[in-house]
Amino acid sequence: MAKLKNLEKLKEMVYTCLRCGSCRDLWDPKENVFGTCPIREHTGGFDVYFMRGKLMLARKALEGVIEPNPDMARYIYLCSTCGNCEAHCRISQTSPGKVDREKTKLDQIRIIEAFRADLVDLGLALPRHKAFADSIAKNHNPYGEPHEARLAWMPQGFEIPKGDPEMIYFVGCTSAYRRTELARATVDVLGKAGVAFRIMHPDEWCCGSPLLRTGQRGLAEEVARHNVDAIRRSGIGTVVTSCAGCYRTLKQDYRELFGDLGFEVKHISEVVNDLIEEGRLKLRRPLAIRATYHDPCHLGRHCDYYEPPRALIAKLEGVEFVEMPRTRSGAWCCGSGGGVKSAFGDLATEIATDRLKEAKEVGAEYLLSCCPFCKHNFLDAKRAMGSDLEIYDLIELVSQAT
Amino acid sequence: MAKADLEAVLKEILTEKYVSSDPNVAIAYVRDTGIFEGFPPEEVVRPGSAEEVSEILKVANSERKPVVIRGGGSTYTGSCVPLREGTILMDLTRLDDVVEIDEGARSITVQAGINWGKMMTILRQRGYTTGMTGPGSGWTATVGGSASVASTGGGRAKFGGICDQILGLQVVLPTGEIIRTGSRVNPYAKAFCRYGLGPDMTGLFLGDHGIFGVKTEVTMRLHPLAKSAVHFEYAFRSEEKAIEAFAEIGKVNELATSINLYDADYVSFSAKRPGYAYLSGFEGEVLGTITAQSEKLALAQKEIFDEIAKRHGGEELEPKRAKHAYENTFYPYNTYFWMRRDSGIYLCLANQNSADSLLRVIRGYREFLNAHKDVVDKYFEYQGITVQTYMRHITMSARRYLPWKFDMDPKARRIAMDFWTKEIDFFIRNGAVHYWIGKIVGDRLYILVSKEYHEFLKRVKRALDPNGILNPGLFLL
Repeated sequence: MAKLKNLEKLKEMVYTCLRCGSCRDLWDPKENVFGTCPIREHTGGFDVYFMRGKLMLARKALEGVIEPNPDMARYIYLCSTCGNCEAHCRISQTSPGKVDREKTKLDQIRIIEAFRADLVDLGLALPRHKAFADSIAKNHNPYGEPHEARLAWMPQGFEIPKGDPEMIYFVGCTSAYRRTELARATVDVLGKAGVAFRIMHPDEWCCGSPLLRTGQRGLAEEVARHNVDAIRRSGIGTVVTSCAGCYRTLKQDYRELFGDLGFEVKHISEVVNDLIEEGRLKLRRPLAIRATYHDPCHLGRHCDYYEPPRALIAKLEGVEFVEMPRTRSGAWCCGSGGGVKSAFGDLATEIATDRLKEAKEVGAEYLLSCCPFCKHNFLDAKRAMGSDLEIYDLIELVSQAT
Repeated sequence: MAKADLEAVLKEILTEKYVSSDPNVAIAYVRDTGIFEGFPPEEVVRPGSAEEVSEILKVANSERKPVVIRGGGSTYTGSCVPLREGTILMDLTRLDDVVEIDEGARSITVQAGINWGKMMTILRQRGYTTGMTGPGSGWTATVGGSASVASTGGGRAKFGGICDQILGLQVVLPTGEIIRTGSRVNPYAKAFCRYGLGPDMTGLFLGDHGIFGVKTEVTMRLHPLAKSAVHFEYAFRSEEKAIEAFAEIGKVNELATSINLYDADYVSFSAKRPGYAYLSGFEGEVLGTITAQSEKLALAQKEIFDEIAKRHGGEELEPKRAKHAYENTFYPYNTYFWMRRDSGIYLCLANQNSADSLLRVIRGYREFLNAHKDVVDKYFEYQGITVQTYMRHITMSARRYLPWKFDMDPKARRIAMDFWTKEIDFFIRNGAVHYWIGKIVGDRLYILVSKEYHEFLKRVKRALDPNGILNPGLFLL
């Protein structure tokens, strides 16, 4: 039997699944959950497409009943690691909708990532994932873009406020190369508030999130080590990011890899809330929109980060805020995480259409999020559907309002 | 027909998306939530309509291919896992819509693969319930699956089990014909009544574990949501007195939706849990919830219960657990889940018995446990007995868990299964009958049922399913 050394370490967890099926299609209004697994809803829906079946597959692979094979890898990679199953699993949750990773007996995302790491070791990584890993090794970003162009988004003539840097702005690859409007909005807002910050170019490399989520752990640790060393060398105690994926990775994965980091990690929405409250950032331009907010999985369920974006939206004058039914820990994933967007692009777009429909159903004109990856996928869905919904990252709205 | 040809035909019926013979797909269906393990199916199919179910069954019949029917896969007893090789597993969870809520006829019709959580969420928004509000696994168990295993759950003290609420079905017979039962057999009638058509053909398919047909729609009664819920919880210093009070409360009950008894072992176990130390020194508890359309009515019922409990030495407690159970829809999952999460796999039996059997069976069960003390102590966590009032009879569950580590050990699993079999024999020989029969209970029960009855069952099976394709291996068929 092929060795599944990472999965073997989590064997007890794998066997703790009762196969009750909460990961299939749970409806529980108390937890804002109406359906659990977006992959299941947009595929043939066999058990192996959602967590119960994946854990059964893991169990049988551990028992040697079935050998790891390319089709098995495909099923294990057909998971956006959104964590909706984990947050509402009757075993893993330590309170409704909240998973305490220190205490839980069943951490589905950890199991999937371990399984993927074994599949990578066995040469069963998906070609698209190997391709972005190669790009990260060569260019320090997954998009095949030259590292030298990482700051090409910077507005001409923009000057970072003078003074000792209060924080590092960790831009992230998607904001640096694909959704550059987020990076521009972020520096615009920080600039308007007079925040002296630093961008770690050329020392900022991919945070490693795409690698960690797809089981490519060796290179992930390498880039993580590089970034941590660079941040520590700077002597700056706060890192702010406008990307949910970078946030989860810097805040949780880096700590798991290296222990105490010696710096704190903040999301831009938290920072902006503080800047407004401290009177450093003025809201000068009222908006006149009806908006809803999509909790990115990496911020919400992965980091229990639900309130700061909503608090920030509440501060924006002229924004009529409406919640979608599936919100906070029950938020329906945009479909792009966990390597799904790169390996199964059409599926990711199809899943994102669910969210756009949901936003329209509550009468929203704007669908806001706090993640460039979510925005990217929502824009693909908007094009596919021909929707008139406006897709914005929250920091862009703040930039317009200030 | 060769395997590849069969698969091609199935794909023609369902499209490629909903048919799979991939071993990675099949392996996920060898278990339900228990420890019994069957065979991987040869094909897995997910039909989306009664017509598709019909087409599949016609093909299966012509090929004499066994078909295993699966709803949510939430049972413990091996009722929805293939018991032999070379089967088609039919996963019905695509059939998950509400077909009609007919407030005039006071009925709801749903597709059989809808789960209770979804149905109850939609119904509650409209101010209704189905009386029996779903099994403990209701977040994920399907309504069709519950009908097939004749299950019960919340509301059973007043409303009974799901079969007591069912007004009619749409069933695809093993040979592919699609029929309806209940009042809708009359093309001019609404779905409001089960009887009035001669023999009760709906009942033929209830508790049948899918051996007589595939349920594709289920019609149930609608009940208005209660406007008042009053909870009660009494603790007794004598187990015998608690049992007497429980029996008397069950006898006079008109409005309580749940009336439960916890035996001395279970009270003692509970008292050791954080927050339950106040139960120390008690040997039995009776608790539950009364629901009514007015508080006055509910309180009038409680007054009668209070008097009975007091007369038997009961002390009234703050009804924390009863309230929690009522407010969390599929109550055993929420009330007991912390135990399951901590303890392991709940090897559950739904032992139904007459109300007067209680004291004898509880005492007998303790003797049975003592006789197997070596196995029980080594392999299980035993917590005690809980009993529920089921209209005029009772259901009794011995709360015994197999810790997770033993599920990783084939030898321990065999020992656990062997013990479980002995336990089933104990309850059957003490007068119990079961819902959630499946392979585990059925193999024991049908050794003891009369030969005439088993022969009758076989004749009905042959009449409906001449090639024996549906769920073969259950009920020793």
